Amino acid sequence: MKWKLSVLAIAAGLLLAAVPVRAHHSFAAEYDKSKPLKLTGTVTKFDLTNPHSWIYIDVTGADGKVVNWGFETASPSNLYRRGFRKDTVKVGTVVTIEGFQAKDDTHTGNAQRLTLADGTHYVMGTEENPG
Amino acid sequence: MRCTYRFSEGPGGAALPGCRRASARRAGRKPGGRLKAWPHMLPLTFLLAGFACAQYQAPRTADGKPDLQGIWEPRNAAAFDVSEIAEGHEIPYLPAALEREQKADRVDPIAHCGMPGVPRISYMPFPFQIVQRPGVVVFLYEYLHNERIISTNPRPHLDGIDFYLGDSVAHWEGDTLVIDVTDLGDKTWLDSARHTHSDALHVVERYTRTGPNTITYEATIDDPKTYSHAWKIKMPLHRNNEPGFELREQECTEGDDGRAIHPLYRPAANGDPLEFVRTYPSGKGGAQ
Repeated sequence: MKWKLSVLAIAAGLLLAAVPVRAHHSFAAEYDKSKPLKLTGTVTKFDLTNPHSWIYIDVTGADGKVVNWGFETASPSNLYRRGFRKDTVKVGTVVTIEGFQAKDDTHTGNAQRLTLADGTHYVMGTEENPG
Repeated sequence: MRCTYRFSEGPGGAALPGCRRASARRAGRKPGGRLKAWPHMLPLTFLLAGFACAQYQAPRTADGKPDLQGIWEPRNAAAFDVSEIAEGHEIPYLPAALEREQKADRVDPIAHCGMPGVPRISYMPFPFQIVQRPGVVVFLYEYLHNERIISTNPRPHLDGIDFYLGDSVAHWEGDTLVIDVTDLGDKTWLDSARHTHSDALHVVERYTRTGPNTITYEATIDDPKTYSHAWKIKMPLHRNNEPGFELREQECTEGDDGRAIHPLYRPAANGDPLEFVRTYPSGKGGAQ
């Protein structure tokens, strides 16, 4: 339960740090196309849910420091249509996410493409910017 | 055989000739002449005729299906405590599930503009409209403009995704619309009184016209991770016959304190208005 709470706390912190409202919003308002990202990490939290799913991964930097990144994805219905399922990734799954960083330089981004260790990949982008 | 709704309603109604003939035929199957010998059986005969005519024949849509169209509303407080419409007012919790529930968040998700889920959307105290087209039944709910567009052609349920309103597949069983709902997740509550469920929830809803202005709504609620056996809820839905009545917008937004602003959750002067006390506390289902 403790780890859950800490993950929640991190998630809540990220959400608060990013933008005040996490409902419906535009890609351009929050993410920066000039800041592409490609990060490989271990999933710490994922929930395929409306209105947008968030996937959190622990990324170990060159200095050995672990940073938790949060990525917003398309709506669950769109991910489902692209073959993604609620058990496609679980806590502990190693994934590579390509996307764009948030304008406010927090450790958040908009996921465009997710690749599993076996090379399977999914388009994760939101409707406005499907990648 | 077509019977009037009033007849099945009670002693004030009058039986149609067709119903009388039906009861006479029924009596005729008994050994000849016995009805005359037992005149005191006559009330029983009429009672049997009442049962024979209790089956209201719903009007049909152009494609021959029972016509459920119109604006309907539940007139009960099940959204606050679903036990009100549960069979025996009891919910057969597994001990582990009851324990899980005691530890759950104590604030109704709806208090933060969360979705009501199924079956709760059916007994939220707001009107909803049913619209039918061949092969599809559409439920339009005034409450937070929810909608369910449900195919009546068989197809397998979705797999690997949850929705707040689940995945609904319908079919007709005689005059009854049967909707099978899965993929509901575990984020919704059955009411404000913290009756919860797991992601294994499986709901089968049944809508049967029982009169010009009534539908009987029944649902079987099964969840092997939460309940020891499937249980049932039942309630009438009433047609809204107010002239010119239409669905309007019923929105939910959060206030500065993060609480929903809608009629169900007005701030109270004392006590926490977000936590409701159960109407039917019991050893099996009551959380006190």
